[in-house]
Amino acid sequence: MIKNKKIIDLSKRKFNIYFLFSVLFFSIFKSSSNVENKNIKKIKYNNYVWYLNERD
Amino acid sequence: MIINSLDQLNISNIPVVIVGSGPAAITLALELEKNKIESLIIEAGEDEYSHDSQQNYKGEVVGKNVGDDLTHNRLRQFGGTSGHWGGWCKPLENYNFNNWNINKKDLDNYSNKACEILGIKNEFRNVELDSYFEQIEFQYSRVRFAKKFRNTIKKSNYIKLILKTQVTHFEGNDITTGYAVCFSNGKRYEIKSKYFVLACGGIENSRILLWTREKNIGFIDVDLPIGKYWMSHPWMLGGAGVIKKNKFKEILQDDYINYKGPIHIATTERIRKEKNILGGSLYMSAIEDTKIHKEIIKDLLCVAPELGKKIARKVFKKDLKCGNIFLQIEEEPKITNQIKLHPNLLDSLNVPITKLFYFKSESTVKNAKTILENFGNFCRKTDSGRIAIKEEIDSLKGYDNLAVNHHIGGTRMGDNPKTSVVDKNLKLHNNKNLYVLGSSNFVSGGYANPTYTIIQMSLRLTNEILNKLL
Repeated sequence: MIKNKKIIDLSKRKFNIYFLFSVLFFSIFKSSSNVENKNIKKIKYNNYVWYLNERD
Repeated sequence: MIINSLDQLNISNIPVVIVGSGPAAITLALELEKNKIESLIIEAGEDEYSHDSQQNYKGEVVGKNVGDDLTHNRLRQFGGTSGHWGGWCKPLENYNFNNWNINKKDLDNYSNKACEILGIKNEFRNVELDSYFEQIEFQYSRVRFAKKFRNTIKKSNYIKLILKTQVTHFEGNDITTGYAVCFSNGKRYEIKSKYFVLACGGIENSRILLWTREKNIGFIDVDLPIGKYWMSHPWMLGGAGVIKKNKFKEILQDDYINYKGPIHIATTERIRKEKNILGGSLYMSAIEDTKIHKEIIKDLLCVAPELGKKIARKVFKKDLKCGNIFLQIEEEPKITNQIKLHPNLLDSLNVPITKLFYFKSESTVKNAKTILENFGNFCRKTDSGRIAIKEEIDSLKGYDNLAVNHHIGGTRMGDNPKTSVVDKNLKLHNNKNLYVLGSSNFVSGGYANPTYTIIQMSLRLTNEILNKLL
């Protein structure tokens, strides 16, 4: 019984670590892929729409 | 030899009769001459431009896509439309042949000869800028076919050219074309030949075939989609902007295509597939117009002051290219875009004038926006420039066609007579000896100007005819 319990606990821990890393990885990946889109600044002027960077 | 009257000829004994005298027709006649094959070129127009002659090109346009009466984008004269063409040359891309019954290699065999005729280098490089765009290379021909080949044709013993003679239609029995009916000096002639080649351009080819079908019940298959799948490649002002040539050079290193002329950019396979768009190319005009420079910099200073200041300092440096951005976009072939015979209006020889049905496609503006938006993002991310998209395109409201200069389709190639007009050798389906030649044969239009491909096709057709005659 004890042995079995240990195994179950270990797998839970593994799962939790895996889950945390996955969340972390996807959130970093998502935010980095959005950086470029977030940097777009579209400005309408004189019948044209300029595609600019934020810092422009 | 330029002849004044058809009475000078034995019109029942000419091996090849060519209708039209544009680049396709002249190329074919010159190649036949090299093999000592006689041909007669029949041109409806005069030796040079004539307003009266040009009026015979009048047609009616349904749809707001062309904006004229079809007298402006082509020339009814010796040398055809090469009398005023821009000379831009580029072969079609591999993917353009996806729905053709020949492939690019079938035409590439004729590239060297085509370049020789057009007086250009056989150099059409494509280099990838990123996964979505590539820098491409056009060559610019200065050849006016009438001017370049007038003397050769005058002196030729094998080429006969008659001007001011209009072929109205062909007549024949069953599957054999017997003669071309034409009018010259107010007289009707029936010109017999072994082989006829209709090479009158992307509108007249369809009109003459449609009229032939109407005059000869049972001669041309009623199911052939003559006049259908007509298209162009919309040419539009897409926006404006600045491009730093040095950044392009940094990205492409030794592969950068440095030559006189506009910077041409085209779409790669990846963007076409990922964004589900047809191909297109954009270019920034080579004309260095200081008025446009000032306007663009003024706008940039308003919308992006920091960047505007930096750019303004560089404006007169050669590195910076500043100007309008033009697009040439591939158009999907649609059966509803078509040439028909006008039900009421006739030309001076009582042949119905053209009625062209040509409508703007929603996908064209979407394609234009996708191309410009992604190119804008490329410039922004790599700091190789900044571009502005015309508001009507950015909001998908529409676009203005600057002109419809390239007339494509109407007698498309194919194996199936229900969806095509000519076979892979450009011979009319179910006919033994009538060929059609020109951009009317194209199954897709691509974004590149069509004349180069027309010349390649003309050279290929010469081989086909020579194989039969020799």
